[in-house]
Amino acid sequence: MIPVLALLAFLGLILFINRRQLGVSTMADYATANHSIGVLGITFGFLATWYVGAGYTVFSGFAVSFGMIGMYVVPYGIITLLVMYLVAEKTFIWGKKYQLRTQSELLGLRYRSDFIRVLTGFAGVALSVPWLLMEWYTIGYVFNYATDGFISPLLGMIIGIFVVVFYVAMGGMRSVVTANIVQGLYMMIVGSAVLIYVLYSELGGLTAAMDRLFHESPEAMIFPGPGWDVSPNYWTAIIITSGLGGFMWPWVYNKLFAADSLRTIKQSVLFAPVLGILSFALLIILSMALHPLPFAQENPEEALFWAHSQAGVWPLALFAVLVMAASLGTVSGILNAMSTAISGDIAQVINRKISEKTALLIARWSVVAMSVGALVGAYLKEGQLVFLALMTYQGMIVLAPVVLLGLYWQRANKFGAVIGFLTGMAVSFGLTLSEPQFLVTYGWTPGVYGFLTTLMIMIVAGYLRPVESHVEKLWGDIAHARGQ
Amino acid sequence: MSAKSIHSRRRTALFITLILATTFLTTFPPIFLWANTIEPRVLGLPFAMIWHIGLALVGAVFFALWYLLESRSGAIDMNVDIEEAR
Repeated sequence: MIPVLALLAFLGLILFINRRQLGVSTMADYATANHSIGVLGITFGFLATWYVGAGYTVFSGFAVSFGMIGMYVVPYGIITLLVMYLVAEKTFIWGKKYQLRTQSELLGLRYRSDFIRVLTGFAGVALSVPWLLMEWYTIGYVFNYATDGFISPLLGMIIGIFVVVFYVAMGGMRSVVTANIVQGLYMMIVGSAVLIYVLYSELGGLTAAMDRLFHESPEAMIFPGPGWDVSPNYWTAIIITSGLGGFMWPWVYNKLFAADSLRTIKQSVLFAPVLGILSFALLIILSMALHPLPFAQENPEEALFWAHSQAGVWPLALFAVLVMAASLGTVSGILNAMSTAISGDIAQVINRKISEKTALLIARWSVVAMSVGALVGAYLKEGQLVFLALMTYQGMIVLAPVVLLGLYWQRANKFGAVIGFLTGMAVSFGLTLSEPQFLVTYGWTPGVYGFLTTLMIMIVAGYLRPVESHVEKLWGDIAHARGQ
Repeated sequence: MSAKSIHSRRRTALFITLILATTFLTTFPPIFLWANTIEPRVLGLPFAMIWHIGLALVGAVFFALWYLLESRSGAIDMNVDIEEAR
């Protein structure tokens, strides 16, 4: 009873704190909160969106099974933050000057191409779907586990959908970020405290847990982990793929357009890595420490829930809320970004006569439609969600050259971007689906090949054509803003 | 190009290099495999884990220094005029 009350209380709290944010009346406010979010909102908005609920089930299960390899998230986080720091200035300047709302709109402006805007908008929506499905499923799973089966996964998903759809559709980015602050603070403070409590109460503390791991399964303390023979290049590949792809997700990137200043974005990069490193390292350490336990080995994805249930009803309740907070943070960010993309990057480009009021209505109904569709998908396709979600990173990294070269290289042009992006996607997903032997032999993931393909095509195309005329004006905007 | 602009570019290049160096030390296979050992352990944690967490924290320090230098030089506060019609 206590866990379900805790979950409902948390959902109620999210709605309560958002009660003043629900009257959004313009598309700009819905998509970017009128560029008004401060450092607390951007920092926790970034962390709460980036930390998925599945991190406490699927990814912790990865560390339970294979140990230290789960730590790849820490170095990959540094690459992601470097990308964030590098894209911040131009994204903010162009975003504010031209009142941009999405990553795709930024790319459409940079390459002066509606096709690129629609293409990347569509890709962002399509690649986000598996994550939305997986997070819905996680919300249903949390309710089901925390109530010992009393609330079915389907009913749990419906409860979660009702709350998230309401505050995202009515409050847009403003509601999403307000909720993210609460979710992020809970994850960093209460979440970390409950993980430490379980580490000490159930496993005898950090040193005792690691000593046990050392004596019973020392191979779990180093790469690649027990029972797995993989090339060291695999480690390099997953860090680079995830690091470059991590900030390309529209639901993460779009937070930059909500910032009230460039200083806010750069300050958030200061806080985010320390908070992220410490909390994620804690999660992986606890997951690794569970490796020697027979139940955890047999049920790796359930291991953290099980350990918290062994510690008592309150630790289970606090942990269930932790996973719920992480899932809601991601889901709300995805829904906001996808609905903005559908309305602004697809509908308003196809039909430019659509008014702002109609665009807002399209965005709101998109939230409802996507949520119901994802509910059906999550319920029917549960077993394949993890595979699909991880596969999407192989597509997202292909966007990295289009964004980074677009922001830093004047010669990057729309022909290279379109051909490179489409060819890179074909290479990446072609290799993912065909799984040729050299992938295993060399250890590089398909996304690395797709990334290199896109990069090479864009560089060649850049030297084949002169710098496009509009680019000089855009670079002039940057120089002007810098006071040069 | 002004002296201020050249200085800003050099600072950016320096910190990108420093942060990428921490990433290089955690991902380049020969170095990563050298660090991929259990001993010496710290608080029971394997050296491999300490290596990755430590370098990430060093990376976080570089971010902080980068920000402080940019902030002191006034490179972060800028006025952007909104273009009414596009």
